[in-house]
Amino acid sequence: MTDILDVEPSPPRTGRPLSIVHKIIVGVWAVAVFAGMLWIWDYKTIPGRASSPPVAWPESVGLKRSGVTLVMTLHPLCPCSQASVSELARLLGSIQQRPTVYALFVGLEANDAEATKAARVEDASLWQRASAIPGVTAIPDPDGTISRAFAGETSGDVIAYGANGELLYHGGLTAARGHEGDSFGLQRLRAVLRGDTPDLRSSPTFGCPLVDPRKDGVKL
Amino acid sequence: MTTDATYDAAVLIAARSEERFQSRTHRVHAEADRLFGWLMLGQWAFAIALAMVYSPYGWEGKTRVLSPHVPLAVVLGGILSSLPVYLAFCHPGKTLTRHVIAVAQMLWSALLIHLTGGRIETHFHVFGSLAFLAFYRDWRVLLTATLVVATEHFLRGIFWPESIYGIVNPEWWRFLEHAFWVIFCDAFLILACIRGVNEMRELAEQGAHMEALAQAAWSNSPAKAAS
Repeated sequence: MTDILDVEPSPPRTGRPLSIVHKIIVGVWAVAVFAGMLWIWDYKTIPGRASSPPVAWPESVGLKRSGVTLVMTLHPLCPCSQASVSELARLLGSIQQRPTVYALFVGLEANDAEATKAARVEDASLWQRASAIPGVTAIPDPDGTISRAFAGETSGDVIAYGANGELLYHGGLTAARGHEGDSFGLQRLRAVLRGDTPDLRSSPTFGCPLVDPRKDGVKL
Repeated sequence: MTTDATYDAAVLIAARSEERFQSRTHRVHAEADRLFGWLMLGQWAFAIALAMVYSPYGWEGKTRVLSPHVPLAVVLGGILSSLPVYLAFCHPGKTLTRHVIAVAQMLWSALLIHLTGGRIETHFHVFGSLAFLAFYRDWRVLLTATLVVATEHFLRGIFWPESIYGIVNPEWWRFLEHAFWVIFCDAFLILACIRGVNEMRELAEQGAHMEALAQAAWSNSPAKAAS
């Protein structure tokens, strides 16, 4: 019947069982992919070193405190902190009464912001994103003096003080390294800013360390 | 035409119809496999470029270190794409090929979400991938993909719950809430797959009938007698 209009060739046989070599290849591939995925999440969820900020606002730093005041320590080149800044922006956009917010850029030269912008796009990106958030003041902290006063250890650390200068919260705003989305830290800080009592007043911070551990803990 | 001859013709037409259907189905699967083969390579290149541009370095104080994203994109992305690409170009149309591709495609979503810092926008890759997997017109492939998403969420919900739900002690069924939207999307895609297969079968039957009519016409034609 098919000698005239044989427009559809016969299908190749596809039902043959897998060879042992294919089974091994698929097995090895599955194990390698599974291990890789596990490694991602293990890496992403290792928090930075826990900070111990002063229980009262350190007046010596010279920053003006006004009502509830937040300080976020940032490494200008930390890619993970893009998510922290995003969450900060989201948080500030969701509350009625905005606090005073300082974004401390540790290691960025005081008069070098423009030069840095020209030289390193990613650097300027974090600086500009943070300073573009309404109510956030970006401050260069080239030698880490101000950050040290707040005991900031990790890029993305947020330290919150109340109207009377008392420590309200410290920790990160993301659930994993460089990962946007809801997190315990975000919920706790939101509760603090709304005047509620959070279950805990600290959370782990996920980001690049502000301290080089290979230099024996010497701060910037 | 006698009853026996009619019956024989019907059997032949049915057999030819099935043959045409299997052939077309195989072609659809093989074409989708090759498309996914190129997509796997494209996603790998995109992931490397993303890591190089978005987060090439991590920092420990003033010490610059290579971000794990770069080797992750190169090595894990390469491993993830390797088997699907091999199967897509060396064994197109096989059942194993499309199911391995479905697994890899959903894991590519997870990897890209990771490389873009969990951006909500990147989560749309999951739904785009499901729609692309529907090109196979094989609803079982969508089930495999959904199973991968649900398993990934389930395991993360157990071991790293905060990274996915924002809280550390979610209810055990929370992964179902996330999987629900994938299943919602699946429901329509599966329906489209089943309709697509039915249409292919109808076309195969029509084609077999047309072949039979053409064959009959040819057999009775003066041209054949002359030849």
